[in-house]
Amino acid sequence: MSRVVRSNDYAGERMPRQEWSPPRTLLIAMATAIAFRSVTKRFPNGTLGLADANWYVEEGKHACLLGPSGSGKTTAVRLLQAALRPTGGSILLLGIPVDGPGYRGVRGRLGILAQGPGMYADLTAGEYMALAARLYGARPDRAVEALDLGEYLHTRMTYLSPSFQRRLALAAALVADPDVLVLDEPTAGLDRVAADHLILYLREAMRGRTTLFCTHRQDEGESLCSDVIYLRGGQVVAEGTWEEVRRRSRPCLRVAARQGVGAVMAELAELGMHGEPADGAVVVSVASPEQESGALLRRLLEAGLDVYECAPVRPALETILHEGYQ
Amino acid sequence: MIQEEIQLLFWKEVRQLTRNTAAMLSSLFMPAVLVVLAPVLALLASRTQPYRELRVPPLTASLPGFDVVHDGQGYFLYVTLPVLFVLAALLTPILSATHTLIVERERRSLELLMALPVLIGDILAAKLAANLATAVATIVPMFLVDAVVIVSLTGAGMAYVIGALFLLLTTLVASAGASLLMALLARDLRTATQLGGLLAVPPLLLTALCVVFVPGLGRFAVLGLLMLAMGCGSLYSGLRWLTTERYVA
Repeated sequence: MSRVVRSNDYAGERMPRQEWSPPRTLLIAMATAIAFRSVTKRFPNGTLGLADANWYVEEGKHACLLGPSGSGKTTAVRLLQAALRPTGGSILLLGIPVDGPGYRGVRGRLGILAQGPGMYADLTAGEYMALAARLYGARPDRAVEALDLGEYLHTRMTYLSPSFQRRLALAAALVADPDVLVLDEPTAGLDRVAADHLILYLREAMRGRTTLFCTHRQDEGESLCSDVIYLRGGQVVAEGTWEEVRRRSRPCLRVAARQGVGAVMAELAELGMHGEPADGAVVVSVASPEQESGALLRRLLEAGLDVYECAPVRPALETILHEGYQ
Repeated sequence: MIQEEIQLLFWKEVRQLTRNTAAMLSSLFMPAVLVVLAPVLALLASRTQPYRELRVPPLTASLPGFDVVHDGQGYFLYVTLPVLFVLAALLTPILSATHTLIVERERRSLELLMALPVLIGDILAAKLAANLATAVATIVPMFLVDAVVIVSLTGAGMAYVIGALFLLLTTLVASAGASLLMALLARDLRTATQLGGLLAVPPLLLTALCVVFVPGLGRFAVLGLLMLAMGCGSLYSGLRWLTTERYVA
């Protein structure tokens, strides 16, 4: 997919620097494509969608909004598209409050691929693309070509295969060459082959534009995004680059002995340490592997265990995030 | 005056409605029966001997709404026809609203619209406007048949026709309000159908009361104003208290 124009100059269009110096808070807002500031969303039935969530996506970044089902990802997307109103806090899109008068102006710079959208039985793909193009004030040709949809424009939307349906929705999101792209579980409901195929298009679509990629699949998020915002129960548990999030956790030692997992865990308990069994070994959290592994190994050997592995390991991200939440 | 987004969505809805056989049949069949067939047959029947000699019982005749009912024709004109008009104008948009508002959400195609640069209010406004426009486009021409029959076969005259048309149009507004409440409150098609029936009860009760207690042509004016108030009230309360986010929440 080719992109011709990158329009990151919206701030400049509105606020010439020679004439006016914006305050620092506004400058921060302008450099941030998406900002959620202490956002809480409680639904009429009492369900808490988001709880004091603070997170932002800088311009040009690819951020993964990661979390299990019901963690608040789609609620965040709906808040961003002004379909829902926050109970508390504020949301900025390209520096403009979502509930403010300028939102319509910036909404055209946001492309959204909704989660598992249904298709119209009585509209063709071309008619839907024409509607999207007119609403965005753009021409559909380039997006249609980029998503290889040209020969399906006269096909009724429901007759398209799930993979093509998703590509059609993506084409509509890209029709105006948006500055910000929001992808809400784009591969949900697709088989592995179709999902992998779609990811190729997504990778191309994300190139050069700010992207918020919502998913519950860490592998997909990590392959497409540099940053992660982890949501759980409507709260932001962790955010940063994938590496930063991993680094923030306590390091671990992986210990294995011939006597088995049970014996190692029992000995660790004797030492006042708690280990978690993992693939025939025990993973135990320590403050410093370099300083503590030697002493721990000696104690285990003295206790009569035939230790054949004692090495520092990086904990799985899901474990880190789950611990963070707890 | 109307935002371009709403206009574009409106024409999309109209296109879909005209392609939807079930929606079109329900939009055409019900008004055809309630606005054309039943009234014309009733008025033709009122010219036959038994109906000419029909007399209202004294107790009923003492009610204010029956002051103009002297025979079968008067009964049809001032009692039956207002009820039929209200039924047609009330139920036709509600039925098409279940297709355009509820089915869209159930099939998740609403997600496609929400992904476009429009607000939920735009989507709802376009859908309600499309339902209303379709209802007006079917009901008003059909009513013209009635108008010709009423003017030519009865002595009711143009005042009656204008009053009845006012009632039809204001009932359409009430129906739009009921459709909005249904869209915001119902989670699925089954609930929507039940709720649609429930929301039709107050206008029908008011119709019955007006027919019985408001004399002469005044029933059209009073009932029309009540319908208008009910429609505006429903639209206002739906947008003000229920809010459009209930449609997606």
